Amino acid sequence: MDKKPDARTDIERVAKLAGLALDETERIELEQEMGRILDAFEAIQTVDTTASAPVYHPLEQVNTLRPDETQPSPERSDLLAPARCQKDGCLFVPRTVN
Amino acid sequence: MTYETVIGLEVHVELATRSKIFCACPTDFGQEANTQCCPVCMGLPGALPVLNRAVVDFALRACLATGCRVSQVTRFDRKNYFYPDLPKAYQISQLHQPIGLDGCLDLPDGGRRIRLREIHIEEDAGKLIHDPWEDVTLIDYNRCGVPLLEIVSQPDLRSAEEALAFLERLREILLFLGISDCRMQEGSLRADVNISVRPAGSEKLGTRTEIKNMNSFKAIGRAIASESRRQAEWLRQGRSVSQETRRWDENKDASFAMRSKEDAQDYRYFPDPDLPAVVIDDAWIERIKASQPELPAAKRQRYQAEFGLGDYEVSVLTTDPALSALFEQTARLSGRPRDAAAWLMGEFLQAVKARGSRPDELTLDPAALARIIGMVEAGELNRTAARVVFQKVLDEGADPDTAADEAGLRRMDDPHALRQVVHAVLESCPDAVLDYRSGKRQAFGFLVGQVMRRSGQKADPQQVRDLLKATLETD
Amino acid sequence: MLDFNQAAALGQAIAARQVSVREAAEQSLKAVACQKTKLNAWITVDPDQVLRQADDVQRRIDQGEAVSPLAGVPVAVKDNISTRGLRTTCGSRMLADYTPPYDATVVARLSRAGLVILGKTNMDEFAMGSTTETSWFGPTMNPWRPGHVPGGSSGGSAAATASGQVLLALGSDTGGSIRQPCAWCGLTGLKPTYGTVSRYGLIAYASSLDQIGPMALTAGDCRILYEILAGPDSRDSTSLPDSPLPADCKLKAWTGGAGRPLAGLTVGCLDDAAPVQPAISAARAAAIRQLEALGASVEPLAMPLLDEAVPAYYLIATAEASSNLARFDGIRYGYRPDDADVADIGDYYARGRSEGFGREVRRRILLGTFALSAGFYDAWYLQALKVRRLVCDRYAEALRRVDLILSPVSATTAPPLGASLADPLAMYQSDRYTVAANLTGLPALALPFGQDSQGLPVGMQLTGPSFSDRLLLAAGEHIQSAQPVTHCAVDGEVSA
Repeated sequence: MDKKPDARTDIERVAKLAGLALDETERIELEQEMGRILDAFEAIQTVDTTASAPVYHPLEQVNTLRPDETQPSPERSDLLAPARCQKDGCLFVPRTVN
Repeated sequence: MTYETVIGLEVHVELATRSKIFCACPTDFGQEANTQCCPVCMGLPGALPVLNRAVVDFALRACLATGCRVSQVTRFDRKNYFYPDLPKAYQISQLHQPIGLDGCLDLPDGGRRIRLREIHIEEDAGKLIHDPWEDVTLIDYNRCGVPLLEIVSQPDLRSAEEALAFLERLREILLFLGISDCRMQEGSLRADVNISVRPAGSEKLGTRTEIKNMNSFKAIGRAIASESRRQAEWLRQGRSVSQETRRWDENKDASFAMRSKEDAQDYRYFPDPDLPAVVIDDAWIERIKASQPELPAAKRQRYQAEFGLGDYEVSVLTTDPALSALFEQTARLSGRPRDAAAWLMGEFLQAVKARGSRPDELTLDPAALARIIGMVEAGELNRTAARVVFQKVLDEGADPDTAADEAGLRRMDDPHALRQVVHAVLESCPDAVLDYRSGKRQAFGFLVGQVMRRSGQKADPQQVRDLLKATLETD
Repeated sequence: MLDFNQAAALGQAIAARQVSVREAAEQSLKAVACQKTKLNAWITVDPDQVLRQADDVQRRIDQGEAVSPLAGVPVAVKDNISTRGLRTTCGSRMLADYTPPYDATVVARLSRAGLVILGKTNMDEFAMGSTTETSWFGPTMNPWRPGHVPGGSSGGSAAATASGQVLLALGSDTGGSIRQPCAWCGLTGLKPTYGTVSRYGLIAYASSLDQIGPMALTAGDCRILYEILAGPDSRDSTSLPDSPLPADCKLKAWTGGAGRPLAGLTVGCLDDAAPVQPAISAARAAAIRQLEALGASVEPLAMPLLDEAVPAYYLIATAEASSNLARFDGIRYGYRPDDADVADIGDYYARGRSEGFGREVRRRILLGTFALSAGFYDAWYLQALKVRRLVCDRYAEALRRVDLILSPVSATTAPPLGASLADPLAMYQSDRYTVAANLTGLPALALPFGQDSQGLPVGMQLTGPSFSDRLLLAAGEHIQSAQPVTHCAVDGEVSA
């Protein structure tokens, strides 16, 4: 299994997935830092976990459900107040799809 | 060479819960933009999801109705991607442990059994509106967090017809389960089509494309036909089909490549740490089973066996849960299932059609219809009068007896009163009487009509004919 | 001049009308103003809003409304906890102008209990850091030695409390962010059992690890504040009803006795070969002596997997963070790039997020995105979840043998400003003693135990079984009644 990323192509792929843009200097620095961190973190690869099930939640509580009841939604103006760009009760972004 | 088309469907249905999947916002369609939102469904920092129990109940109904194996432990995963209609930048869905696996659905009329790969629960995204005036995209989050089921078939379908029959059958099941209104035009039922072609007789699957954005059954049929033609044509020309997602353009009646497999997203699914697992024990499943509505296939058999209805009547009455419920109640209350079927398929569906609405949008009290049927049966109303009463019941919610009385529609069955009307008519129409007596038989019809009119259409026509004949012959 | 260093005493004085709520609030506001530039503990303080709250609480007290033992006491709230109408920044440029339209559940509980929210405290950006130096609003100083960091990420809450500007604060703890700044600032702080305090309104770093908890000078104040914070919340699916300790939990039978209140308790002292500063060893020895003097028996406890717990923790925390922080896209709130310069929607996201997030946050988002990405999920993220299982199992086993576990909070005392930022890996590894409580969900209490040669405080940590929060705090109270906590001298003036 490929454990380590091919540094160069990988940091760009990861940054794209993460919705981040890195300039050249930062890309090189982060690549090195990430490489060093992952080298150190490889310690976990040597732990024998064949018999252990992953922990998804620390206390593994289940079935926290709510009844199907509605409550009035808060005022639109309150909810949209923190947004910078509004038009006709909608938020907007630069055009996405044609 | 001839090619065989291989189709798999991914059907998304919005569940008809009152509140959203992870918050208490209402799910009503067509409201003003961003008025059915809260910190949770708008993904405000710090807001957390809490699962709506009814969503699990509804999903279990769908699983049981399609023979899916229900997961004892089901979990939610986050599907991560950036898009402006997805406020948290992840969709809460189920990848690793979906609620239902390995179901099936039989095509109608003894058709093939189509395997279902899985049923899973997820949340809907918001709606993007492309502003016609400025170069921006507007966002309405009202639909964010409306619960969805995704029902995924195996690639078992072989033609557009089969795919449509599958969808019809699925739609009918979901409607009768009462878990979705399945309205394609409102987006509460959407289907993505996976399609490939292969040389007839080959066992190996060809490269598939996925087509999105069809908003009617007709469009799905056309998209499948067009894409299977396109793929077969490419293969005939010796080109290879590339794995891609295509978008159906209704206006152009064709699909266009959206993105290829190479730039397929890496969604980085992982278990949502905000949502504990859902453990579904036998007691929960039994509770759902015990309240599971009768499915259309079972209804059809029962209508034939229990009410002796014909194929056509049965198929019409089981197209819609509101209609079939009306039928069953009216049949039970009136004790005359055939009359109930005739009224509903005739007068009622005509009214539905005339108003351009759906059966559930009209209010008809089955007890009132049963009473009308009873009055006709007892000879208290003739057919014409019964139709008038029916309209009043349907339009105004009138009580059938009151309506009949107020409009003076009840049949005149007092022989003395009818005899007076007959005498009055004969006196006022001496010419017609002469004509009749001189052998002009058509004059009789005229006289019957006059008596009916003077009785306000309340007289029984047969009784009028008998009395008129007797009077003309004795006088 | 009011002279209280315990919230409980101030609360009593307010209830007895010896001090008005406004007086208490004004004194805190004055202290905030005095130390603002020196410590930079706060991001937002709105004096008008504080005084309005104070008057409102006073009115409730005057009307005889049963409020709480802490009614009228000012409290600091870490700036990743949502406060309706009060800016909540997470120490980030991304949220520098964000005012939440709703209150976190804990904030609503504080208000209901009549506490006066004095303001929002500085923190590492999105709680990602151990020194409060990654804040967009500049670093916070340690009140004990202003050239040193206060710890983090809840460093602003720690500095504000240690310097006496407030007597109580809320922090959040994902990998030690309450306990480590408490240790470095000479305070008591509890990372509660996961699920006992609602996370609703806490701007998530890592959802399966985050917990809000109390910070104060003493365990007694932490206990009173904890009682207000804890309890199930129908808005948080991971919140739990108060569960009794399991029947086989030995701690359950602990009653203590006069003079020897910890009699009957077995405390396992973490037996760890990793080097610690001499002051830390000295504090450990002092803690053992203290525990024994109070009647507990202390035995060494080997705890394997400490080395692997840190990478498992960072992989899980950053994976969750990469998803939790994806919502910051500038559309509904937060930093937004200038639309005019944006080429397409992908560019829009990348520009805004890269400009809005600081370096450490970007690094952790990248690490977490990597751990979840196709081809690496199994070896990194899933393996981390399995190591988490092993860590949980080891702690469960240990807590069947001993009642509580004693360990350092950190291998060092507070380093000078700037010393930690150069080496992120060393910073991550300094969380060695704190991350296990987050991986396992167990409650852990940081208690001050003396100072090093420079006069910087040292803290020790007690970890207990799930839901033993109150017993941990009670043990802390016994320890502190035997040896009172030393206060920080501010402006040459030692508070008694």
